[in-house]
Amino acid sequence: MSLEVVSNLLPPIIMGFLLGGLYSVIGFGLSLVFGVMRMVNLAHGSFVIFGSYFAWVLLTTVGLDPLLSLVIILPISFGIGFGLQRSLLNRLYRLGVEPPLLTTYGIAIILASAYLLIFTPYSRGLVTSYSIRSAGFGALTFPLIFILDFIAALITMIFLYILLNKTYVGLAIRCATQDPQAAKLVGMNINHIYALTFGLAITFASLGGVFLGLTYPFIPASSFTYLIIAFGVVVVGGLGSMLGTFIGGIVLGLAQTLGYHFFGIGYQLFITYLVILVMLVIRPQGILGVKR
Amino acid sequence: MSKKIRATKFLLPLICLIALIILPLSGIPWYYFHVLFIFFTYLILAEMWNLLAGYCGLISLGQPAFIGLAGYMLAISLYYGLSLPLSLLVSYLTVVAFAIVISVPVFRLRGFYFVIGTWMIPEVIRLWFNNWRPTGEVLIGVGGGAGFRVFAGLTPQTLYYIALVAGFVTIVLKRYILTSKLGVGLMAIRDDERAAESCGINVLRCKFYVFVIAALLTGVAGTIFYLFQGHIEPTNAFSIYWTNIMLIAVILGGIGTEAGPIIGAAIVVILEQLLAAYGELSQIILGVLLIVIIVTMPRGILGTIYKVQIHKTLLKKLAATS
Amino acid sequence: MSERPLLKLDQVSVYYGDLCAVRDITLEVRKGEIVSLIGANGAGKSTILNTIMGLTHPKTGSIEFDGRRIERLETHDIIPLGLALVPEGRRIFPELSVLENLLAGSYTRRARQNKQQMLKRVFELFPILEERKNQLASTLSGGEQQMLAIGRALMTDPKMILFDEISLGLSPIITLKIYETIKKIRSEGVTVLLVEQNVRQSLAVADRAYVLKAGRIVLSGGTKDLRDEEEVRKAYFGA
Repeated sequence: MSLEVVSNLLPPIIMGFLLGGLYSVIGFGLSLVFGVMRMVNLAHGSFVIFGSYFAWVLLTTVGLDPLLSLVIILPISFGIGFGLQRSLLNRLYRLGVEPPLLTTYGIAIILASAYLLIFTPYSRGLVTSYSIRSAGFGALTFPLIFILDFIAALITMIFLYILLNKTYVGLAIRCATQDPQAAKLVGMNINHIYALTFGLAITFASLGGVFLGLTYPFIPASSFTYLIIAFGVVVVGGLGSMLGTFIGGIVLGLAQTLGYHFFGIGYQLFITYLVILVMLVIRPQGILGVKR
Repeated sequence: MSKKIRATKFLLPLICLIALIILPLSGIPWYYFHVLFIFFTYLILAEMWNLLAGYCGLISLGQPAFIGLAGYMLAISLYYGLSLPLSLLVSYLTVVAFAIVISVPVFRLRGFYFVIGTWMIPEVIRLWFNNWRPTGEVLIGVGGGAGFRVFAGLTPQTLYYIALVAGFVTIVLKRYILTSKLGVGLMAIRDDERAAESCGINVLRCKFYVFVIAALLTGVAGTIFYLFQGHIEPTNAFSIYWTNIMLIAVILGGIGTEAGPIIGAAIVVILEQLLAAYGELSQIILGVLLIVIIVTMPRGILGTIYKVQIHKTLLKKLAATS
Repeated sequence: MSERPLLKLDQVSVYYGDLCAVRDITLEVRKGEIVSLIGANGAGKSTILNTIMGLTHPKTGSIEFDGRRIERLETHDIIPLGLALVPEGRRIFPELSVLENLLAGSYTRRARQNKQQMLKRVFELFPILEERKNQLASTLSGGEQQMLAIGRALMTDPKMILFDEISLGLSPIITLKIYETIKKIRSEGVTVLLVEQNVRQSLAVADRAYVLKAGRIVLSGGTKDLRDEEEVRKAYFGA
């Protein structure tokens, strides 16, 4: 392989890696909810885009920089997740597996339709001074935003690791994942833990959405794109381990950027989806997952 | 069954059928036939989704794949000059073949993976059709859209009758399935899958048959709809809008009940017409309705009525014996 | 000195849907006692323990612990009052280490304050747990897991511990050792209610016992009186 070909591939590979970090953040949200509450949150992607649109509104109305707007968006997202779980989803678990699933589907439709109604199908993007800058040198240049994406992802993962392994709240979440009854018997308030977990998941989703909005343009239907990507991250990397989710994110990030590099913008998502489907067929438990 | 009940069981649907057949002769404005046309289309979709999710526990969010695929194969076949019956045949064969092929990996997925996995299928196909240009440059519409040839003889009335026949056939087919050996298996699976398996019912085979039949009839509904609409494009053909309709109709009417989809489809059609002026708001309202139904009446209208009936019967029996 | 009992059940009936699991259960456990609840499989023993702990709620009747009515409370509000359960099947957290399992036990605010003390106490009772403290709980043997489950319950700093079928699946030697530990726990001031199918073992260690049959209490008394196993056997099999 000539040096030129290799150096041509370097930018998309680096970008894919960096983007992958962000993808694993939205993957965490989905796998947390599934691990703790055994529930599939079909509205996850809609909440990712919630972060994007929220930041867009703040940017275009009061000129608030998206990074700064996180201070507002994240707590509100947490509150919404917490409240939604507490008020609505909690009473559905005893009805079986389908009701919570179908309810999140309903929420997904409501949000996606609301976005369509309020923001129209035209694509939006979070455009700031730094979101259009490039980084790197010579032939190795790529948009600066990808580095910011990765930094955000890194901070989030460190936060999650510390939370899960060094705090009592995290211990409670892990106990609730492994054996909710036994968790109750040591005095853990399961409803409270569920609400915290869901709030956390939605917070991760919006965080991802803000950074994704800085990286790529988005439309209401992007809700479903990011649901599938979050799902794909979990499928490729495997459920239940942070490292697995991180790897899953990297793989899909690479699939997207390399897909764009080789096949063009029309096919980048197609290639990404294809990778997910192939993984589903040959090894559904993921790279680091255990066969259940 | 007493003669009286037998009479009502067959007489009522028969009267409805005759009424629907002679309706076009009564001079009612076309608008109502349009609504009935949509009703039959939704009815087929709902019946099939009920078989999948209500009886087999397969919550497939990927049905739009078959709608879009059938629609597109129809458009392409017609474009290349095939006659209408032949084009329809091509569409249906494609859909069945696709369902058989895709069932292999799909049935290996469980729970979480099955739900989103099936959701992915129409998404992937849509992306493919966004880029694919099977009919060369002759395309109308945005990215991958295609227009149909306009047909002489395919009047609105003809379309109405086609939809009516398809809907009627679907109901008869469903009845036939449910009273056949497959149907007994399905009801056992619906009530308790593991118990059914241990009774010797080949659960996988039952699900497979239902999956393929549902794919076929969903495709039929798709072709009917696109014949009527006259043009097709990827975003609409594979949209979750179709899944919304099936889901809400079935949940509303009563998942796992026999007549639930009919009632559900009727309500959805009426609601859609009433809310048509409100655009996206109608989808929001449907979403809210879905959640409200799940929280208050998770068994749907018919499901709740049956439950109340069973309760009343039980109480009566208890009162009689004590 | 007629002190009120630490735990008192009065005419408790528990239903699963329309099915009656246990009916009109009246029993009491006084402070410092070891009381045994024996009965065949399906007699309702676990149901009673689960109901005391708030995992299910009785349809009728009252449960009083340390002077407070607890039958309507949720489990996470009952634990801080000083009740703990070592559940059937151990139910340790498989993907946590031994130490993490124990720390999970001191989740409640009250227990967290005495964490180090409690940990020391658990390691004294079960030195093998200290040896294996960084090992994954799922790699422990059956007997060690049982010890871990008991240790975790102790970490909640309880006034009273309920034991549900702890000898299940364990060798007689380990079972003996565990019963020795229960006596030791009692001598440290913790009251014990234990549920067992193994009649001989539980009668050997308990002060009093209740016999449960088909959801009802059919016999009760001091273990010396019940040691006449003929009576107990009769109650079991209705011969």
